[in-house]
Amino acid sequence: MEQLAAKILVVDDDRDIVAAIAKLLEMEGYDTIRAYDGIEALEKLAENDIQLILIDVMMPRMDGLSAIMKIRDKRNIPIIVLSAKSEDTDKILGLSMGADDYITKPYNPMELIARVKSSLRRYIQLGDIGSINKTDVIKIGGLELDKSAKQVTVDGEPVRLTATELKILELLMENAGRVFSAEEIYRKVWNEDAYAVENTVMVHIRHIREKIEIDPKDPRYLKVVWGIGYKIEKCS
Amino acid sequence: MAIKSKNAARFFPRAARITAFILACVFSGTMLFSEATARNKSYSLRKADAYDEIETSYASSEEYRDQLKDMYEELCILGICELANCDEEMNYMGNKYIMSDLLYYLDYNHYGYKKTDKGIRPVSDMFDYYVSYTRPRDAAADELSEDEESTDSEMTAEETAEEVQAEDMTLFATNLTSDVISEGMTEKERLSRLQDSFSSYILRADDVMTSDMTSSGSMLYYSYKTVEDGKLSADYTDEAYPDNFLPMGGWYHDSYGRYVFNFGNHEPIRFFAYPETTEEGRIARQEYTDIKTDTVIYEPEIYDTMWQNEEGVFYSRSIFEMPDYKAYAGETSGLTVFIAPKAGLLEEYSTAYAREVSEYELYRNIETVSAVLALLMILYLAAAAVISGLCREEGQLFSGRVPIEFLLLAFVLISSYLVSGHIYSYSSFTQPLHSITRSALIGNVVYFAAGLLLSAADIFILMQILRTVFGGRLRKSFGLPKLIRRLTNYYHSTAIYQKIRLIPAGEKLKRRTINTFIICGIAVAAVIVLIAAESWDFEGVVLLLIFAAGVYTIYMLVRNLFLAGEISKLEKRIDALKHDEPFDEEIADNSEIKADIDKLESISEAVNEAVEERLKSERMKIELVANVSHDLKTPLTSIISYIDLLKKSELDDEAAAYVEILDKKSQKLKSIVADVFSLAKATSGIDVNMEELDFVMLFNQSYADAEDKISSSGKTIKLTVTEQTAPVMGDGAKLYRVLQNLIDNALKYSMEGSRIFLELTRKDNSVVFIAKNTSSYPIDFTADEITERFVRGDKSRTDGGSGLGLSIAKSFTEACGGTFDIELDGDMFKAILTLPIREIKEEEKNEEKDIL
Repeated sequence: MEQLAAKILVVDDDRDIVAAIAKLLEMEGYDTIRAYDGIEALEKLAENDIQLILIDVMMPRMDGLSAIMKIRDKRNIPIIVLSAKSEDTDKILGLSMGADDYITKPYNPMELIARVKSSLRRYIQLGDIGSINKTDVIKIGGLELDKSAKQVTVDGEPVRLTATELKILELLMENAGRVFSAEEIYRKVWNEDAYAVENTVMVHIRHIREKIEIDPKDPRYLKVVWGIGYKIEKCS
Repeated sequence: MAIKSKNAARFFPRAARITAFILACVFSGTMLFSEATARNKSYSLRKADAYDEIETSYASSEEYRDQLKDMYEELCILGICELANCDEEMNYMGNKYIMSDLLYYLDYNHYGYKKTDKGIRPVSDMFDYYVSYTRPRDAAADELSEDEESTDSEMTAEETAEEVQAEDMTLFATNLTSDVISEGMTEKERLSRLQDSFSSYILRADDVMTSDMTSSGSMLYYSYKTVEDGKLSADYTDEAYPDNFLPMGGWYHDSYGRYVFNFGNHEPIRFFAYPETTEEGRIARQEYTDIKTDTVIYEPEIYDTMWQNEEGVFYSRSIFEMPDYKAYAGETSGLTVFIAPKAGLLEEYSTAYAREVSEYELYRNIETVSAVLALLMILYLAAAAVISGLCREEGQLFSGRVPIEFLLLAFVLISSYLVSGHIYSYSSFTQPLHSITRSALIGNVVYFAAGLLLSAADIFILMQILRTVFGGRLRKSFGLPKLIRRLTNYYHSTAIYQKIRLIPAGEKLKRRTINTFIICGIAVAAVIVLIAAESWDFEGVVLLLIFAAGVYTIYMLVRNLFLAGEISKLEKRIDALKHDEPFDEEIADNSEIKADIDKLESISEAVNEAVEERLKSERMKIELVANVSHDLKTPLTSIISYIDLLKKSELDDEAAAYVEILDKKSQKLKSIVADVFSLAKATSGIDVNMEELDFVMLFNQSYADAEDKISSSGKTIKLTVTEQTAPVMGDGAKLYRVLQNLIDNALKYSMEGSRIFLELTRKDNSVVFIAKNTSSYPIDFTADEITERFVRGDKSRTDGGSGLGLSIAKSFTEACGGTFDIELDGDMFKAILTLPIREIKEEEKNEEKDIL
């Protein structure tokens, strides 16, 4: 596969972490370039043909966020932030600066690999195909739903959903950003009166999440609004 | 209404104004001088019965009348005292004290007289006179024997001798030459001779007044007491001065040896028959004014006692009230008085008098003219001052500098002084101009200058006032408010005021009330004492005291009213402090509640500081935890990464098992670090996103979320959910974490095969969630201990969980405004979560339905 040759720039001021990540990625078949601060990262980026960047936030000389801003001036490659800062505000800040994903330390190596793959896939495969606008296709981030084909893909990877799960996902994706209560979902999907349906709906939601999310405990798309309902994030 | 136009001011050039001012001063000075002179002259020229008019003829003038009256009185008394008591040879036979009193009386009044061997003879350069006393022989003898014992025998002998020769005996005195009047003529011949010789005269004979004068003027009247039956009449008899006549008058003598004469004089004239050395004489002489010393030694009053001091014995009763007081009417039928103005002399006086009158009229005319001119000049100046004020002319003398009250006061004082006429009492004006003395002349000049200067000052002040008023500076030019303000400011700068200022409002109120009580108390006590003592001697003082107390009380009540307003401000400030709201009402620096407000401000500052300090320390704590957790996470990242790499490498079985343990422990460390951080955040209350949510739904979601774990645990859960909905305010993610922890906890620590009870009910206004389970381990800890951090029910168990589960549950619940309790009963473990229900109004419910 051509993407196996992808070069990934790993930036962190902790050399051990860089080494561990590099090793991990190399085991997966990726080429890695290492940098230990923002400025070095920019230099390495200029020197090499990089397809993805894994970057820490808190670094000497130039921090990760500043580096992301500089990179985003020229390049459109995927950037994954890797930070010990786990606050929502930190995540929002990182993502709005131009990062594509945000992984908190200490990370799960499996998850890291999954996210890297996902981002690369989106960038190399889907990015190239670009925006073929199918009218029946709803696209939210890397999540795509083809209504006519009844097909769902996450970062290009097809996902198998049951009919009910598809209906729920369709409802939520068509109304991205809106919160639906369990009863509402039930009424609309099952077309029956809803009574004590929380469990039923929740089970389906959980199943959908397990299929479309990399980390179902920290979902990117399908979110639970506790005590209110469920929604799909309307992301850029 | 300032006038900009120079045209108006053009009519008042500076030179004209100065000229007008000088002229106004000169004219008003002249007017004042003329008025003063004319007024002084009018005193001697005026009519007796009309004081504001002057008499143009000398013969009718008061001066002439006074001369005539004095002459008449003198002659009458002379006739009664001397002529009636002389023998044929003109030897005085009467009471010597009477004679000495007569002489004293003449001296005292500066009457000209000469003492001849034929007795006392008045000297007058104005009148020719003739006075005689005719004594009928028998009547005279009878009277004398009754009246005066001392002269009795002599007179009787004399009269007896006269009786032989003629019927009556007449003695006379005159300043006429013997070719007109001689002793050889009979009384009748003398009288007809006199009447023939003079064209103008007054004659009293046989108690009849005859007058041939063209004018003696008219006087008002004089009053005297008459005698009836040895008693003085109770009332005074008024006798008028008829035109061209003099009043007849009369006399009496009394039991105290007094001779009282009422001949044309307002005040009776008294002579004393007794010497001062005798008791009777002393009583008589001491009663009224002592003629010799002209001092009042005793004013009679109606008292009943008698007292004595170094001046003598005083009877507290009027001499007329004395029990032995008796009055006897004096005989006047024998008295003949003739007065005629000396030929030529009257004309001379008249000419002088006429000149005085013309001078008077001249002054009056000058006065009128100068008054009119002065008024014109003043009007012109006033107009100039008004225009000057309206034009806002600058650079005027004293403009605005002198307080207007001072100017007004000065104007009123000077004007009233000039008008009142105090200044006219200067005596030198009476002198006629043609014969004025040098000192009087200087006096006149000085007076003129004084009048001129005063008028100048008055006019100048008037102009200043007008200029100030029309210049729109009236309000600013008041000096008194400025003075009061300055004094107030000074008072405010004193140490006393600074001390008083800092007294708390309540203390101020207390002191004032006490003071008011004391002052009112004193006033009331004074009134009570006064009423009780029935003494009104200090009435004025007491009234003043009451007035002062009243004023003070009202003043204090008014101040208290203001203080009450200030105190409500203070209360507002306290409320603002209580609710932590801003207080933007201005409190003046001299406010009565300044001290209290200051204290409150410092409390408020301290509170704010404390709050800020606390917030700061909370922030610092979070930062610290954040930093610590970051510092933990970084090495942890390496550890986990390398363990993962290890797991992927070829290892023998033993090493693989070790790596597995390392993996587990590092994962646990990871969750502990995350929990510690979120716990720290929750306890400090930051990072809590409160929103409206349904707790029942939240529970259902959480329960559904945990269903896998529950089914895999093999434990039975008994659910009791009584509510359909339970709206609460809370942080959904945090409450989810709480429920998750409780379910996890129950699953983890409940006894194998036992049931777990989860209850969601409503109690009053709260939603209550209870998780009950039977512990699989003996409970050897308290409810407090278990919610403390890092404490677990099973102290020996080391797998899974950070030990923070219940601490987090408690902290998160409390951060959302709820309560979290643990109850322990034997092996029964019970976690109780309570959250207040948010009441949704009907409208909101409807709205929600619409949205859904």
